[in-house]
Amino acid sequence: MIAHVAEAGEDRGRVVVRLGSLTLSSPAALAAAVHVARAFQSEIEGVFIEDPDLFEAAAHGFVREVGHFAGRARPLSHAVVAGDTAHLAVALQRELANAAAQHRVRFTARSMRERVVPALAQACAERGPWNIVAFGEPIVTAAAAELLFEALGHVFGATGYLVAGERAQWRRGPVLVVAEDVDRLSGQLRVARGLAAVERDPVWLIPVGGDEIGRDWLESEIRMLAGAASDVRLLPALDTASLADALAPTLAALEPRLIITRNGGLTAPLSELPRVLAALRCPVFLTH
Amino acid sequence: MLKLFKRDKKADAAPKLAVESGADADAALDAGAGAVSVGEAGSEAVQASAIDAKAVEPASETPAVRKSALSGGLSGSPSSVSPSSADLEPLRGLIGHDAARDAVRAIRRLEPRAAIFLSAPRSSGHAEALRTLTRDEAAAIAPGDAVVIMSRFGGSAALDVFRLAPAEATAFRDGVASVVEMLSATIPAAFESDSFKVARIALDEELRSGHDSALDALRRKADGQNIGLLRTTNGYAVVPMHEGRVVRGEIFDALPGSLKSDVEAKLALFEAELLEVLKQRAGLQQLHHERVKELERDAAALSVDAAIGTLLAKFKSRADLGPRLAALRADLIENALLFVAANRDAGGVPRAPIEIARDRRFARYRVNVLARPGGAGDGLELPETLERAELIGMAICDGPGRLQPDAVVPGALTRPGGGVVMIDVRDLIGTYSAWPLIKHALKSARAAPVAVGEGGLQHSAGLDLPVEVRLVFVGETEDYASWCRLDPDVGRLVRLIETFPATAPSTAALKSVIARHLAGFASDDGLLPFDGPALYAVIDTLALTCDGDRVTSTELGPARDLMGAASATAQAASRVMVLAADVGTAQAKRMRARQPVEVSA
Repeated sequence: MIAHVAEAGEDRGRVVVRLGSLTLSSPAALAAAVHVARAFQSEIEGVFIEDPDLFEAAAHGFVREVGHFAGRARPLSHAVVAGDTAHLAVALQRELANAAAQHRVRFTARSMRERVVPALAQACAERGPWNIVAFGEPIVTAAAAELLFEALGHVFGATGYLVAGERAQWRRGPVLVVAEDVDRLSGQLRVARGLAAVERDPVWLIPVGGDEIGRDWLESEIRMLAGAASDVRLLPALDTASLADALAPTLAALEPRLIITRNGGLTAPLSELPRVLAALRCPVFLTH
Repeated sequence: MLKLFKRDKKADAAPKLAVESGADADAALDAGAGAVSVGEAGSEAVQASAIDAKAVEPASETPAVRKSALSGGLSGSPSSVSPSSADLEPLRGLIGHDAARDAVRAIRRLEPRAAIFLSAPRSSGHAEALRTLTRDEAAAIAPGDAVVIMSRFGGSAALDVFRLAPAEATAFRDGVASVVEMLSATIPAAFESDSFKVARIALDEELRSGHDSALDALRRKADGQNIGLLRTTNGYAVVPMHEGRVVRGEIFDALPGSLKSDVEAKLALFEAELLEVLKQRAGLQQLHHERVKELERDAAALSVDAAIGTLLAKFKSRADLGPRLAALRADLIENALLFVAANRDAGGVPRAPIEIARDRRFARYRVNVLARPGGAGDGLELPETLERAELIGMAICDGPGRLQPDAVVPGALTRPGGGVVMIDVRDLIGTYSAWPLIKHALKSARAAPVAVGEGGLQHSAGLDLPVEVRLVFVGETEDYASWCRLDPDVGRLVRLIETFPATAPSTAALKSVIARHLAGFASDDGLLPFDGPALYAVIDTLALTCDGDRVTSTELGPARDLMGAASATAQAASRVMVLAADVGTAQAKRMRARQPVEVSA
């Protein structure tokens, strides 16, 4: 596992922030994206992805739009779709630009009319392999989780993903590494130290294992690997790992700034991702 | 040239007013008379009480001495056999003290919210004596129950005003304050507990899944018929799909007419269903809101019941407090989120419970016991200022909105439940803006006595404060007359009682009493003794003519000054006793001093 992002000017990658899901941005996700860029001295690109199907649909004269609040349908024209989409893109890009400018992180913006995963794959492939993809909107639906799952399998230029739930907050606190195996531990700790160094946050490490034997073994291995490091606080292993719903509130109670964990693991099973993210209340950095 | 005159007020003729005995004054008050006026009987009372007043006479005085003093030569004319000041048993104190005490006793019989005017000469001795007498009478009035003010709750903006025994009132006020302070810690803790958060997340998820499931079901149904629901900025578009993609325009156009009609009909059908799903969202939202409120109420009720339980147990014998505490409980539960919001400041820093309890947002929960803290509570209040009519309580409302319990200030009152407020009428006339408010309080049968501040009129007009205030105005009789000329209502609202009469009929007995007071001045001030004619000459300077009758001023201050001057004159002439001639010389000097003074412009 190598979670890395290229430095600014290196032209081999950046933090790519996906915008345009037609929901409001998650301020915590945007702030986490900027924080990662600061940690790696990288840059940020806001990629607003327009839905090509929507424009295709608007080409039909008979397609109508059913509004959330209007209580009736109205004709959907190309002009309406183009206008609304452009306005939303400007608003979302401005929000991200403001967050980046606050920490003097270089920011670029672009719009793409493509399906989400191909668009992200294209954006990452264009500028080298060292990208981190941040989802700018909260992951609250199964469809959004599916998009993430698809991206994990098809976007080859991304070394990590930043996601946040609806109630996520960006606040001071430890960078928490949730270790489920020893293999990824050194890479996760390296990322954690880099992210924690930006604002001198502590690094906490918590082992999470499946069964009692596995957990004991994991804890002993982790103690051997990380126990000697004075900058890492090793927490007792959690024994509720089999239930993500039960694990999330426990981790949330530690009030971390950011959680680093592997994707699809016990902490963030993709099938339960929206529910788990809602309970965690902080952004999550998913590594391969 | 501008001429200024030194004016001697005592030279002005005073209205003919004297005092009745205490019982008669009470009867007159009960009859609602505007002024208590008497004639000869009053003057006799003055003489008798002055002679009999043990409080003002030396303890060593004997009946024999008294008799000799009364039977002396001061019976109307100077005589060579009249006793000198050295022969008389001195009298000290004020003339008419007992009569004044009887008159002031009327205060005890005053109804709450009544006002009287006690007239007396404006000298420090009389004023002090009047305060002492009034304080005694005020202390004799049993303290009433304390007036307690709290919010009425239950959606009413009105305040609830009731009475409790002073100790109970204080305990009730402090008890409610403790409840609020306790809740400022326990309610936020309950709302931040894991169990509450889990329950809240479950409710939110239930709402979300309710939304999503209806939409997902519609989406799946549409998928099966090659119809897609696309998200737009404002809602959803219902579109024809093929193999997961929107059918391109040219392909759709190439379809047979019947197929196109069929697709368009399906689109219309799904549009209608989609509209229905979106409408149901509002219902789900409402249901979610109700369930969240119910969860919050349950969480708050645990804390509120725990905090208020002690108070309920303490006052369970007070049936009238039960409904009030129940209303308080309901309001605390309903507004529990106030405590959660106040738990942290704008910067997110936790606030101390005591700081939260002082938050203005909780002013509605404060209980006000209407009495100024730190007062002596002896029943007599001497307000320091009349600027804002804070005599008997005032409701201050900063602007539109609910009048909070602590906006009612007690004014001059220090004793719970009421007392006697004494006001110098000249202070009142000096700040006359206060009078209309006080008058309103006296005239109003219901809302009085409360004066209102800026912006508070409309909110406090109906506030009934059952404070047992008795207003006592003090001043000279002519002040009362001037005041009556300023406002004709005064005669009807404020009854006049003369306590220390400024003048009394010139009788031999009165002169004997005055002579003994003068003997006291000579002794106390270290003057030469005055022979009989000299004493008579001094007494003669107190004589006045009022409405054709010969009267004598009872204000002896000027006479004392004259005696000092006369004694100095006699000493200058190397005499060992002051003669009438010395009094005449001193009087002449005083008269010369009163000549007009020319002032250059």
